[in-house]
Amino acid sequence: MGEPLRAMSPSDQHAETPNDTNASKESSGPRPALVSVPSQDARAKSSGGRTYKRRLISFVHPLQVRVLSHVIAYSLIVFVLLAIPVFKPLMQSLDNPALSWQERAVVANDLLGLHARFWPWALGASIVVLIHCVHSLLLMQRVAGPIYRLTRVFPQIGDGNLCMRATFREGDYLVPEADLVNQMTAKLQTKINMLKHAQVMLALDTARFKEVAVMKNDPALTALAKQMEQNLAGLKTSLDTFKTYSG
Amino acid sequence: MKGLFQRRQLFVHPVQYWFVITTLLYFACLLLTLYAVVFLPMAQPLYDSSISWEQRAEIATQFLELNGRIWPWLIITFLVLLLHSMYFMHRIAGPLYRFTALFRSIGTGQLHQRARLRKHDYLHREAQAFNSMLDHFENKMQTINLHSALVTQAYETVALQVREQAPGQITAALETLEEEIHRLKTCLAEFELQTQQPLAQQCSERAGSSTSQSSNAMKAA
Repeated sequence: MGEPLRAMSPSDQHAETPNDTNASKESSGPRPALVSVPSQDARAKSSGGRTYKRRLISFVHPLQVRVLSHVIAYSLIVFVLLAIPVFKPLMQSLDNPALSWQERAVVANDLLGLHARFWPWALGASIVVLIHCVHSLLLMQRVAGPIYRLTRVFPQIGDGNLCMRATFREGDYLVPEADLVNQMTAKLQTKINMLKHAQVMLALDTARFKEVAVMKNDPALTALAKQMEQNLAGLKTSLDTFKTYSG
Repeated sequence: MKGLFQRRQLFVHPVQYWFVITTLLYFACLLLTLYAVVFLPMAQPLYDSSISWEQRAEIATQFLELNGRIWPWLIITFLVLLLHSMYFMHRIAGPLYRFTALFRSIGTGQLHQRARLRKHDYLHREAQAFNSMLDHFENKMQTINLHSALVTQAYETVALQVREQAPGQITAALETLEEEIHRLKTCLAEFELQTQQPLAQQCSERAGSSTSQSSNAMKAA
């Protein structure tokens, strides 16, 4: 299709580089209220509202070639199977040795007359086949395009970009499938957001615990709290490989 | 990707309906055109007033005879092509149907599931892309699980240390920590991963090294 991938990633614009120590540094005050994340569905709808131009015909999937070959094959089969009962009796009569040459001449005339009538009209019928081919290509493009687009979206979701949303062109088939993919991504995003939330809260509590340990002047506990902070930083790094609306 | 499933339902996706309808329309159009190609030239002399009724009768007989020969062929062809087009579309609709079920279950966190198609199905390439996405996602979740296990391990070491000393303010902070760790674990439990066992081993190995680091830290302190 050659068009840019039609999947939205709003967080790309304001994605922040994760800083492992941020959570612990901000922990000195009271526990901050978490900012409410806007509904993903609403954003998905807004991103899905864009429409895209359809190229007249473009091959993006082997299915298109297969369907085209099927249409041509079907037409040829119908054509041949119709020609057999039309021409075969006359051909058989020509090969019949029991007929005199005068009778054969009559049959040959009939056959020539049939040929003369048949082929101009048959050429006209080939225009119908051509229309069928173009129409089937246009129809199949409405299936192949979405499949192609979903195949492009999957790797990005796998790489952790949960802001991706599959959006199709007007008139495309498989819209329910795209909706399901978007719902799946939104649900995963919600789960990851919950994890990120839990990690942030944990980091704040760990920092607070560390402060208490420092206040108590307990070096062993302070060292353990530091160790825990390091582990939490590792967890944050892992979580930050997922790109979500909330960062 | 092996053919593990049998075809049970004839129609599983709306795409099949339009494909069958389109095939029928194509066939009807082609049939009308070819029928006209064969029979219109034959029927034209019937309307010619200069032809005698004997000749007209002969043409009409030929016309009927040809009709009788052609229709059985056409009906058989039509049925064969219809069946073939349905089979062809089933090889696309089947995978789409399976993908739909997977999209629903993956959304609920069942990351251990994979797209498995029948041998003769189309969309194997798409199934591979989808499975690859799930593999990547699952790897990330395993890393998170690993880090979560390390955090839990570190917390347990701290808890042990605090319980030995039992100072009131620190115990309260510890309880809050425990709640947060429990919440993190609950969030993580929503993801069902394929390979839990190797991860548990990894965790215990990493956690062991973390514990030794903690004890070293304590000793140093």
